[in-house]
Amino acid sequence: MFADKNAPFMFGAYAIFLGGMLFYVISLLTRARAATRDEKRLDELEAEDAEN
Amino acid sequence: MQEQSTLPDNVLTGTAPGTTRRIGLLAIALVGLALVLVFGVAPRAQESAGGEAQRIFYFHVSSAWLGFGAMALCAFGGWRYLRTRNLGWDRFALANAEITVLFLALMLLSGMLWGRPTWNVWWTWQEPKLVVSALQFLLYVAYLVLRSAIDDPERRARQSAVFSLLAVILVPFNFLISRVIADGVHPVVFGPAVNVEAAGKVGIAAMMVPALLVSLVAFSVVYLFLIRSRTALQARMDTIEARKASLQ
Repeated sequence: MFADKNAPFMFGAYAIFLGGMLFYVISLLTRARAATRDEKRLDELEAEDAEN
Repeated sequence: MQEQSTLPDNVLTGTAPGTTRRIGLLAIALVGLALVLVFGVAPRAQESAGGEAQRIFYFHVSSAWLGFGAMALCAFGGWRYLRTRNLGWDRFALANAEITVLFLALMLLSGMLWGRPTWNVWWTWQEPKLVVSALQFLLYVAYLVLRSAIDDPERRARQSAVFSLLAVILVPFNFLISRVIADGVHPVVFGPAVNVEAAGKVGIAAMMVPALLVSLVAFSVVYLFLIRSRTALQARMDTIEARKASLQ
């Protein structure tokens, strides 16, 4: 399999498949963390707002 | 208009995190099994089909299946939004559009990596199926750009829904085009084709079937994980925007 002259194309394609899916999952996790941070900040601001 | 935003709690449109996590673990296991079958069980193809590069076929077809399926479900979400004015369907359509862009990009890039050893070119504008696929990819990028340019949620949902219903027309066109033209180079694996040479270029041997079927199932489960995760995330983001607006 590794000796085949076309093997680099195959491995490149599978690296793109798995890397692409992983990249999207990481982007979802990053956005979820940002949403959690925003929610905490909004909780604080709303608490301050309620006190005033 | 009062916002309705809940969707039916089923495997496709539900957002319960525990179920999504279990679907994610199942997706990882199935993708692993698909890789074992692709590299360990599926036979090496003849040189004219790319030799080892032909193994790209299994995930290339699965990416197309997922990308085109997500396009159809994006249009379904848009149609449901127009019927119900439930912004939950708009979030579902948005999630499908993002998944479409991702998997059409994977399909196009992997197709280029398969095309180089078999056609001797990375890309050809002479092949209508490639041109239509590239156009579809650009259309869904435009869909995401359009959404980001509109602030009002209901106007954004309405215009996006119409866009998605128009864009989905290219899905059957893409499927049929390599079957009805006489001089295309893209192989036709399933069903009859006018171009006999294209139809016979990549056949399905019995040893290839398990790898192809498991790849298709694995990508379908990956889709379920991604759609549930993305829809749930968008619901949180929309709630955050509404809370920010109420503070100002």
